[in-house]
Amino acid sequence: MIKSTENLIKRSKKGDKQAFGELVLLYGEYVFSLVFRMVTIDAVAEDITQDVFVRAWKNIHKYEISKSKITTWLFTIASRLSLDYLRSHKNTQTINDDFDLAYNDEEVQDNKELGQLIRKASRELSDTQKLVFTLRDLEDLDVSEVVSITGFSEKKIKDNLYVARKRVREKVEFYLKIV
Amino acid sequence: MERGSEDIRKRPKLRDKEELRRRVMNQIESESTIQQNKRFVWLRIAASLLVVFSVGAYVWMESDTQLQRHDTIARIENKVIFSKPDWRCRNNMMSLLASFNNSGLQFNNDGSALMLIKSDIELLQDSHPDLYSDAQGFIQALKELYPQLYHQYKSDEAVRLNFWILKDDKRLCQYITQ
Repeated sequence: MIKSTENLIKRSKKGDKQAFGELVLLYGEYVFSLVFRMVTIDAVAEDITQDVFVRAWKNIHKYEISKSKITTWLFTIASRLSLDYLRSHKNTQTINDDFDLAYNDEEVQDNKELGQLIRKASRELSDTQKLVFTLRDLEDLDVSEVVSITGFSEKKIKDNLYVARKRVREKVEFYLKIV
Repeated sequence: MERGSEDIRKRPKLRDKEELRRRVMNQIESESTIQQNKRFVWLRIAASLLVVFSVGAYVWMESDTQLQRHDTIARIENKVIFSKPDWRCRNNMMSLLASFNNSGLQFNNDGSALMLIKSDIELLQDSHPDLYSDAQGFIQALKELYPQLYHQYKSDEAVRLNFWILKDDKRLCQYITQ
């Protein structure tokens, strides 16, 4: 898998669009996942995901396999575009709950509800907190990876993560009390 | 939070990966076409500028060569390529020539040229002192513009100055009348 991914990247660097198309199929969902968790609107997330790959194609000659993982590089682009979107649409944000259509299993109904609450709570975080929380807690990435994706210092990440977790916990507890 | 962590970390599903790939490829394709078109436009502009500059340089070199050739021929044949003076300068010259004619300076038989002779000019000094200074201007102009004719004049030979040269040579006309 790694070998074939490397091969696809090398071919893409040489201008092979077919190979890049394969990379889109391989990593489309990863990128979409991060973008969707940031912007929370299905159609917008798809558009941004598309832009992420178009930008990746334009800059693939700059990407060095030895320096970072392809997912880290793609997440870097995705997080920047998502933040750009959030900053330019600060006052026009709408919330889309259709995201849960992918979760059909009735056995995980409780978990699903809690998951929904956490997602809802995370929407109320600041852009930076949301990005750090999404990468670290939802995408389950190492702090070092979050550092290289966001360009933030480790301290800044930890501070934002602490505040984000606290706010999410408070919100979830608040929702649970209401229910 | 632990209870729901598995569920929360489930990736949101992309509706259609193939559709995403198709959209990305289309956009890449269309952007590269636009870029190619832009490159062609710039190439065409550059080529057009090159052609314009080349033609311009060629025309300039041709005309400059022609001018230099004329000048050289004129120097060899002791002619001058005339740049015609304006009508005011020509009028002044004509009235000056008429004054010379009235003052007794010699003209050739058919009246088309002024015969400049050193002894005649010296006579003017007493008879027409105002014209004498104009005549001195003539001599000075000859010295500057037609050195050969000036030497001819200095060695007491008659210098023949065609009217058409006098009125059509801008340099001479301006030198004398201004």
